[in-house]
Amino acid sequence: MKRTVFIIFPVIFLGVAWASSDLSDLKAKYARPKSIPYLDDNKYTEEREILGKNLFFDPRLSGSNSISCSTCHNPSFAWGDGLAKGVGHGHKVLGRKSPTVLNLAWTEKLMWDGRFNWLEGQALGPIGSEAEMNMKMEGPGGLVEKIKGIAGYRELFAKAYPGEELKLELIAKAIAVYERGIISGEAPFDRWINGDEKAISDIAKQGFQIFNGKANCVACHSGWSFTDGSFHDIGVKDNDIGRGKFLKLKSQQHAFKTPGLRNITLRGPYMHGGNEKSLEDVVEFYNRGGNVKRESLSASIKPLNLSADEKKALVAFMSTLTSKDKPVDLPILPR
Amino acid sequence: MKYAILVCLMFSAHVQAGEHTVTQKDKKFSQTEIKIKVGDSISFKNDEKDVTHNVYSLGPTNEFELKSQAPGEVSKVEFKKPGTTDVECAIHTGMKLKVTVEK
Repeated sequence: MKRTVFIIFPVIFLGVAWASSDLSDLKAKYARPKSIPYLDDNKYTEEREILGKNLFFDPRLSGSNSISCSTCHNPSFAWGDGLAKGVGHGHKVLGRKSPTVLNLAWTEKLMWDGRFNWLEGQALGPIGSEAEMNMKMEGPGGLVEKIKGIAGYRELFAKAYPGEELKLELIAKAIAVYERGIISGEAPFDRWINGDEKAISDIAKQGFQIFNGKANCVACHSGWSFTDGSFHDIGVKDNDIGRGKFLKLKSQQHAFKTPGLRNITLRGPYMHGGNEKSLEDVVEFYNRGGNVKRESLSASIKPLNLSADEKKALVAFMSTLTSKDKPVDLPILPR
Repeated sequence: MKYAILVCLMFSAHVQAGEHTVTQKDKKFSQTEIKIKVGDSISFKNDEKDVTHNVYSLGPTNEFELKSQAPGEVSKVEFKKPGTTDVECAIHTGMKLKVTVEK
């Protein structure tokens, strides 16, 4: 068996010494995956991706014919909407921020409260929600009838899922295939962990070590997309009980899904209610141990005692996670 | 009668409830499945350095919840009914364990 031997030089950042072998091991934990996972009963094909993309950008999937999935998950806003809280049917403000759909192919529990499993199980939720896209799903005038009534979609479905009946489940599957391919590109951080020492600044490198050390952000924001998909009450002061609505356990009251951090500089305002305007505000929030003490507060949330330089370093590090992604070509929708 | 009591005592010694341990480390259970007998117990041990877990069963049988479990804590659960039970961590939902309780 081959073994890699690292020459150990201590690297000193803000008073914290890391052996270079430790740093190499740490970097390896953030390596990008080689492929995108698809479900066994919904494998990738180009035809499915094309169909899913059309459905994703089509406002006719809403009751008002004016809201598409991309209204709240807009590629121009890193697949969110740039707002503190989403806006749904009838221009009514929703209760939570629209989360990005970047890098979700690896995530089982979706939505801020985790109530849907995998993208295939989630895709129809917002479409059928009265508050969001308000589309009638079943029966006459429902989504399936509407899609079947568009000749171009009949052709696209026949190519993507030959021999299969066009029903709600198939619409969800096609959207999920497209969404699984929505991945953030290579960021300066990726180039750094791949050996380009000039890809990020020294202060950002310090921030990486604080992220994994003193601030312990890695307790939840781990792995290549910087989330372990876990659910925590982080101390946001509001009346939204999050996952606690579905799971009556103390730890899940006010608990929300840990979002990934890729392209995070493009995704403000932050938190499930859009309460924090900037990354600096987010770091201050965690540094004081959240905004409220209650029984359900995660054990990981406590004052961090970060210095001003350490806080700056954390923000500098997170800023290296944003990639320069290619603009998305909008589809000419089928008629 | 004496023999009957002796046989009963010997038999009861052989069917003593078993004890099993499942640890939680790196946000994973030490195994994904475990088969035990009715009356056996599982000790759930949090072997993490600094991660709290909240192990609970989704049912349909032997429902339980261990509350928040700090690193180093061990909680013992007796499984009294036959059947299968899906066990997860409420916080780290990727942690999954199937417990099959046989008669």
